[in-house]
Amino acid sequence: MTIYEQLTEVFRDFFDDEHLVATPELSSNDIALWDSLNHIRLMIAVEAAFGVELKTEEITNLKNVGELANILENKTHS
Amino acid sequence: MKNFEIIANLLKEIWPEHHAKLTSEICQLSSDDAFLLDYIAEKIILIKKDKLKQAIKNYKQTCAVIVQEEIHFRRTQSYRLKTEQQADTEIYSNSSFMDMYLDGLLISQLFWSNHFKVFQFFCSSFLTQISKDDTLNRFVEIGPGHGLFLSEIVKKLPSRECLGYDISESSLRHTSQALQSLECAANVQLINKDIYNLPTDQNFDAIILSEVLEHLEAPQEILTKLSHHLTPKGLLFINVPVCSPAPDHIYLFKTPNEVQDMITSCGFRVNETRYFPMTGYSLERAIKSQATISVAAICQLST
Repeated sequence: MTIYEQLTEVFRDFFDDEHLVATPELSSNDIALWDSLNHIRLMIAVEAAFGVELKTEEITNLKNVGELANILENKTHS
Repeated sequence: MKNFEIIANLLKEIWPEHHAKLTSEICQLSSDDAFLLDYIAEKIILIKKDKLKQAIKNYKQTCAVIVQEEIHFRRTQSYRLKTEQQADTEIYSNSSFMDMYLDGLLISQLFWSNHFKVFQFFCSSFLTQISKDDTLNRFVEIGPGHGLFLSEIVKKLPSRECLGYDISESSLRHTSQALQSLECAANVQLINKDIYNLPTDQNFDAIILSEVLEHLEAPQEILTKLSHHLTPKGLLFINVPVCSPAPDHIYLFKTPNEVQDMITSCGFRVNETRYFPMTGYSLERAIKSQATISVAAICQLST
């Protein structure tokens, strides 16, 4: 399973929306429920799904799913 | 929504991403909700006057602080601070932080649906009940903070005696300034005192305890103490957030039932309860994902 496929599963479960697809361009602007507090919860869910820990600045500075996928790729291959 | 739009437009200028989220929420409001939101906005404009823009910047900063607390909470399932002493040293004694934080909490009354809904419940149910009984004459709010609840009582029931107790001098200064701006300071006695030291001869026909218990190490002690200060016909309005990390929150209530159980174990019976999940959440989803829920209740002494 690719990182984007895994992220799609996490996002669908978190936002309770089976039609969501995690694309590199997807950002908080595209999902009404994705506000600053939900962002934290979402990132903690991502951490659990991937078995990694994100740094605080990685969580708070994230711009879109593409950036998240890059961070996860680096962490899971290091 | 004239007053609300003034604040929303400033928010759009200062924090456009948050404004965009807000717009989708506002579209779903009933006309009653919209009316009350505009009423709160009018009060906020009167309170902050020419410092309104700074207050909205402070709201943005408060949200950033809460995000940091949220990260800690999600990782550890606990609040960062454990003692009242820590909260006093780090938060309550830090007047510049308190100025920022209290502005943030004032603005949150407008933009956080759980805060707004609690105020609506307070006005429509609690205030209606105490205004119908003219034998209820002496009211107190513990930790009046932004002053919106206290000012509403004074406005609706100007002839009754109102007091506000707060351990934080900074917080009380904000309350005092808000009451002056809303032209109801003359009807309220504000007292800078720890509620643990409330004299035993002080009795009240209504006690308002909104967002206080989570700031205490042993909230059951205060609740029990307050049960000795409420008159037999008196009413307690209580509002407690569940799973709500914030820089000065100490006691973690994990479920709405924990709040209800504590209230009833401290000598009260609950007449009415409302659960208000945070913006964008259904109650079911908030419970499942441990998102913030405000638990508001109207209580009397258990017989």
